[in-house]
Amino acid sequence: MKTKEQYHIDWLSSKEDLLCVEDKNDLAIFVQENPVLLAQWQSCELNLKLLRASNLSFSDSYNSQVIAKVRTKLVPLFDKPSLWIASIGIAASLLLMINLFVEQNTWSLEALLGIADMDSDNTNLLFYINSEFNS
Amino acid sequence: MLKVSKSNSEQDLIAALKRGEERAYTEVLTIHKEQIASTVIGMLGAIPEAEDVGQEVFVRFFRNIENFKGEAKIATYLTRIAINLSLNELKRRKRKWKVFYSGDYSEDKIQNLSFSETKDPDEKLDLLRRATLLLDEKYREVIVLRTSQDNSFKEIAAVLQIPIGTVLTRYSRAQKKLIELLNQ
Repeated sequence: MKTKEQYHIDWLSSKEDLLCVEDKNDLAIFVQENPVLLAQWQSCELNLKLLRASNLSFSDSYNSQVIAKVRTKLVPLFDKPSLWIASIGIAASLLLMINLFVEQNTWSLEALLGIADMDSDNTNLLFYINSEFNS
Repeated sequence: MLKVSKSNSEQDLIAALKRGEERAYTEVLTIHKEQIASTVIGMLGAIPEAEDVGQEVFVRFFRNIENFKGEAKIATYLTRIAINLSLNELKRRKRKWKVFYSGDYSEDKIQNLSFSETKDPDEKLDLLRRATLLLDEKYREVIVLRTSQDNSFKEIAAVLQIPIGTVLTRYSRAQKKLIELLNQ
């Protein structure tokens, strides 16, 4: 047993030949028995035609504004030269890290900071650097 | 009806767009502007943001033309973008409303939609538009696509990428809801 909604869907489908013969016959019987409902469906479709006939439009400058926006080049966050500079910077810091590890002969965080040989007698970084240069 | 069949002329137009010819931009805008206006304004109402959304539809299409494979017609593709951007705008508006107001803005219903008593066609049209804007987005989009461009149910299904049965069910329910709203 079909619901009213299903018959309405069938009625809408029949307008675009989307309904099989069996459903078409079934619908024909239903609308014959329910003329008030059919009138309501038809009235609703008729009212919606008002929306179809209405003209909605954008401003006159719409086309030129769209073209101006399209023509505006997007500025990339990272252009080619800045990527080169960033890559060189990363490579240089990697080399420096390796150099620090090798020089201090350890793989610790202190070695990364260049203070692997600091001790309680020598906590001053500048002194440490100077002594390294003097030695 | 969705304009421009997927013919050689449409393929030529796509090729010209890919070459960046301004003539092609203007042609696409001229052919499809009205259709996009009715879709976006139908979905959002005649608000200032509607034109911005409408512009964004074409800007996105033109900027991504290299990725356009031509599987769908330009009209279908543009309408799909228009619907998606309109839904995004509606979500943005809902979020904005939630920040400033504790209630649900959709409850802000228009009272006294005395449609049957109204004889003036312009007034009737205004009531219909206001009632359409009160529909849930999934119902509104089928009403907008069906009425503003006179699309077939098959075309609506292609734009929304949903089965035709779903389109028919939503359209039927949308009509029922509109009748309720206009006769309350």
